[in-house]
Amino acid sequence: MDSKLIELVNYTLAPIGRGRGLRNFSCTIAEGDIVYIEGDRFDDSHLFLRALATLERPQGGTYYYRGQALDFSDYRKLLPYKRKIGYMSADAALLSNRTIGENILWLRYYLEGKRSLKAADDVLHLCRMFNIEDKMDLRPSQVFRDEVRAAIIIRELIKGAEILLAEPVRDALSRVHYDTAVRLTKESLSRKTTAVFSYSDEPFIREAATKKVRIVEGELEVVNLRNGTVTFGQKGDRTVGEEDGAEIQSN
Amino acid sequence: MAMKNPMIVLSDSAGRAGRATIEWLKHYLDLSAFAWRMIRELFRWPREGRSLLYRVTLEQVYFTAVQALRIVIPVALILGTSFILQFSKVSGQIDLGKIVVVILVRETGPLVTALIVILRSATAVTIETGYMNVLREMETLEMGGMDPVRLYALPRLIGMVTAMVCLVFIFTTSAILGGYAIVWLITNVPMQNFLLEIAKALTPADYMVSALKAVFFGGVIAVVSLYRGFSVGRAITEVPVATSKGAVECLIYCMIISGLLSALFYM
Repeated sequence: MDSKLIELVNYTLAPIGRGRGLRNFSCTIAEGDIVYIEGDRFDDSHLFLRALATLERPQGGTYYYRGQALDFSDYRKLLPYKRKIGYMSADAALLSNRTIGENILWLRYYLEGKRSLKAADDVLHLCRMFNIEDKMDLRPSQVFRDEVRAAIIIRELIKGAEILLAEPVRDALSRVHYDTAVRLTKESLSRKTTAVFSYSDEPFIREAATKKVRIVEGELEVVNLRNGTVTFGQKGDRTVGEEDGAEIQSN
Repeated sequence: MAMKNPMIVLSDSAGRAGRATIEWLKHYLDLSAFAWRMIRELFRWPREGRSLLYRVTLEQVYFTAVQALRIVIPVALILGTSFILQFSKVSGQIDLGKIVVVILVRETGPLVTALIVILRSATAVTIETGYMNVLREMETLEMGGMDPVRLYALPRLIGMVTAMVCLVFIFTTSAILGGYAIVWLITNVPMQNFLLEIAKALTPADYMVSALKAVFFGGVIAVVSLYRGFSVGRAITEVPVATSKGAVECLIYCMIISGLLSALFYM
């Protein structure tokens, strides 16, 4: 049986932007799961991703990380969990008062306590793949937008995260960088990394996916693509998938 | 024109006063809580991230103290020269040393230095913090498991307090010695025994007050400017408002602290 990595139980989130918010849903992401989100509104899909990243305080419900209920009353208690989450969302940012190199290596030097910021071979290899190895001394405002995105991807990949959360980056990356990002994502997925994508237009994501999260009008349901099980949020009385012999879980 | 019911006018005014008082109290409680949190962080010194903390602190000392020297020293020379020139006209040699100590060491030195730090660094810190909030860079730190208060705010507090102490010392020394040198070089004002008189006029309390003012000014400037920066929400238009309010608030607090400390030591 898959071990549960993240479990959101009876979760309710206030809307952001032009979204509807998410009402009273439950969702489990197990280790090795590859999930994609299909939503009627980008804001709601984005909200779900932010909720997984513990960046949104719920109005109700409980967030369990490896069975441990998280306490949102003090943001400091969430920091150890946040570190385990690779967040490559549209609103992920670099620190604008630091160079690209410092941004990529910041966490390593925070944890390892070194004083000099010298990139290790694995980091240099990734920087070469994205063609930004000669821009490590520049600040984010001095490089192109897709190079900023590339630096964010590298930073999150070398973080050693237990789960990757990603949002569409096609518009923000040049063709070459996008292909590199796809290649690296495929490599990550082949290593059984747990991942949640808020897009599904790449065939490899649909092929590799084990679960689909569908968000319509603020209501969320999780479809297990392996066995057809559907977990509902508020509309727990529906019987979608019953004809396929699917097990139905509801709140 | 119809007259408003006096009771309604009275209750409106009472309501407005009540809301303003609550807002005022909330602001001071939040600010105090933030200051307390920073003070507690000072005594929590986990191993994790210590080298980065040192680095960011040193950077802050460089930005606030070293880069400010080219403003602080000329201002100190101008003020020192004019004070010494003016007071030499109205006082005998005996009083000049005392007057210079009272005006430059106890009062003007720390306050003018605070004003320069507010104009240069406090505004910069509020703007930087505000922009980092708007652009979700604080979230970036959090997603790395780093506490923004510890990694971002604490080094700025330590850096600004250290810088303030250094700058007050440099300002006072430059004003007295530089002012004396300029007056001696370019005027005919009799300056014999001036430095000796200053040395005689300085008491341990003067050193203590000057140092205390520097520490409190640095602390207050750092806490207020960071608090105002962290209060910025998602709109970029909130940044200039927070900066302006923060700078004014810093100046008022510094003046109050200056008055209180002077009253405490010299009354």
